[in-house]
Amino acid sequence: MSISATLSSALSGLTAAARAAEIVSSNVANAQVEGYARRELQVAPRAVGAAGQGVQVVGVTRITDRVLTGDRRLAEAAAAGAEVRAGFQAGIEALLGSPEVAGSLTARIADFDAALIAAASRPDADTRLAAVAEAAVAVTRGLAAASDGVQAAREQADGRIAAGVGRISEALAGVAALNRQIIGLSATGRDVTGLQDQRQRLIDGIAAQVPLREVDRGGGAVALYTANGATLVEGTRSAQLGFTATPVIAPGMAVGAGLSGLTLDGRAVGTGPDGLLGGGALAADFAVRDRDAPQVQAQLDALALELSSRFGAGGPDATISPGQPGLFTDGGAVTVNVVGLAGRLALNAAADPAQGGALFRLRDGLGAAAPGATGDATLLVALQAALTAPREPASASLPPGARGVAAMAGQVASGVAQDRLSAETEASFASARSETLRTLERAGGVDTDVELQNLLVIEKAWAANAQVLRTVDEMMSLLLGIGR
Amino acid sequence: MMNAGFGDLAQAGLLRRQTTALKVEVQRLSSEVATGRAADTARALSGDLGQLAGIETSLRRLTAYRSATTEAALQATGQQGALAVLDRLASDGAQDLITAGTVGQTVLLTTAVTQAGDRFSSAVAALNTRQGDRALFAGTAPQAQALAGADAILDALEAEIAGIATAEGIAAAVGDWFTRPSGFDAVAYSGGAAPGALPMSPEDAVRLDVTATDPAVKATLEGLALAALLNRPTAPADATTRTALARIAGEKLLDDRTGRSALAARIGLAEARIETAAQRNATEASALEQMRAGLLAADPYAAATALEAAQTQLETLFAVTARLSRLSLADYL
Repeated sequence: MSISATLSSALSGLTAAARAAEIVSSNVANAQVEGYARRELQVAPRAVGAAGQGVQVVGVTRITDRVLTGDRRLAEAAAAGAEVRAGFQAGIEALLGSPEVAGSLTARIADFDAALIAAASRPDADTRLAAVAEAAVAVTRGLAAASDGVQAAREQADGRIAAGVGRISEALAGVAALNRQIIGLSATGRDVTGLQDQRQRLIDGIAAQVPLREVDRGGGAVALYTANGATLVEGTRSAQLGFTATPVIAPGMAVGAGLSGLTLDGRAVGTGPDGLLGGGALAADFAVRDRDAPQVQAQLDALALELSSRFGAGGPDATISPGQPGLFTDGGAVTVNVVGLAGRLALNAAADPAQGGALFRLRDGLGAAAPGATGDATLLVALQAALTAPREPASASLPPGARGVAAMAGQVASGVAQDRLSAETEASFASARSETLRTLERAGGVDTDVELQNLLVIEKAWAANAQVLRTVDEMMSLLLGIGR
Repeated sequence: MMNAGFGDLAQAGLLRRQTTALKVEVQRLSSEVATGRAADTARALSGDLGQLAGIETSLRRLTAYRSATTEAALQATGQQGALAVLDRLASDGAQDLITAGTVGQTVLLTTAVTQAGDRFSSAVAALNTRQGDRALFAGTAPQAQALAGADAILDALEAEIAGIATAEGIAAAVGDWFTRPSGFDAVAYSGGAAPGALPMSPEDAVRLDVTATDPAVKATLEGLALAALLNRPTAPADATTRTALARIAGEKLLDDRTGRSALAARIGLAEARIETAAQRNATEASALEQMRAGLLAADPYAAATALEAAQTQLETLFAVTARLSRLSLADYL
């Protein structure tokens, strides 16, 4: 009886050692896997009746720091959001160009200014007038390119939202399904650590999109909430996110006017900083599409409005009758709607040889039927004065202050540069924080040196238990050999 | 059985991140050293691009003003030259005509009158000077010729004085033709109006508004024309009338001398203003260039030093990474 007890204890020791070795090998195999939680074997003395007999494996635990993981996920969401905003601002800055670069918006306006001065000096020279027309067309092209770029950024943000919403919905459904499996399996006492790993990976996958809070529910299930309180997964039920993509976005489109908002289980949900799904890359894409990009568009449109109104009816050119478009037209007509004007601004066809007009109208007025005195530079001088005259901006989207058009463009470029710098600072701070937390989290992961050290101990335990078994076997054969 | 340890991934991730950050830094610094400019202009200026934009705009404008001042100076010089020719013709003509007119000798008169005819043609030619493809005295119509030919003008004057016998009457008729709008201005002058002020710099504008219809010019032409008419076949044959007319013409040319000097002074003033504006533009342009260089430039010594330091740091990090990767328990088992 005590011999068989010894045998049974030794066997239990071997089993425990074998399980421990299995855990070590699993840990070492997954040492490089991001998101793998280090396994530990829980062993305890086995009690048979009142006496102990051997060792039993209580279970396998995943070593995770819940708090650290939660913090890391929130920091990742903040970093991803800041990254989106910084990327957008950098893109816009590249579109507008830095003032010292030829071809930037401010440089194009300055070139138009210079062309007018040169033409005023020799108003009879067709080459000078042609240079004025070219410079004016270059300004309109620069504004159009910037406007197109802004709308393209909105389209990209919209596309990213659509892809993100798809991924999040799938992941939430996956988490709910895993919840069901884990509850079922852990009730029967089986090892669910693999499923838990899978569930953690799914949640980490969407943590950058939406700031999450993971809460333990009984039986191994978890519930997911957004940082601002919306329920994403509760037990075995997951929420449904709804969004319709808009592939082509034009200026003036907004939520409810051509663009789709976000719905959670059919109800519209806010993505602002205080909204239910606020924070994170998804909310940042919404901010880019619905707030930041339209702001830039409004500033570009305001610049276009300045050009259109300073050279229009009531300006230096007396041949333009009221209600007729001036030197810069809204796609050929008078400016009525400012939204999107930057993309539609064009040189008046009457003065543009490429559109069937004549260059002399730059010198003699847009309404002139025939060329006038070829040496008369009065209109050209007045046009240049109108371009540089300090005036309060016609639109409230530009910062107040009496400036010339080139200085207004400089203000717009300054604003964009400042936004980009502050977005980059925020992004670098958020990314540094999330990196630090990630490093701390990884520090609790698998350390192969420690696992190998443990393996040494396990080897010794195995050898010791095997030796006990051999000794017991010899003892039992001795006993059996007595009767021979 | 288990103790915590320090996860493998933590170490690897840290080293990787630091290597990447240093590499980015090295690249930025090497581009700064190579180009001499700050790599990120907006960051170097703390996002305030307004000043830089203003400098760029002003520099482009000043380049345009430079060509404007050069062209204006050229035109003013041309006009001064032509007017100098006119003045010389007038003074010489005045001398000859007054002498011929007071002495009364036929030979003197004939010589003076023949020369007057030539002088009138030269004067009209001088006023029709073109610079490049532009007439200097045709106002806002530089493609056109400023004045009709000398013969055409004299033909028109002949028609005007047909039938008048007295010298005073002829002089009065010629004078009236030159002053009234339907005379010289309509028949002889084919240019345009006087041009307006042309900007030479952001603050200055200059008027080069001398055309062939300027009163001083017209008065000189009147004097020369009066004498030139005597050269024509239809001129009065009477010696007294001819002598009287020659004298009146000579005196007219003499009287107008003050007018001509005032004209030359006016253009001279304009030339001086153009010169001042050009110099001021040049000074402003060089000052702006310096300011722009100051805003955009990166200190080459500081950048080179920082690049050196970053490269050394990167090399050290590589050595540390290599060392750490060799430190593994597996090698010792």
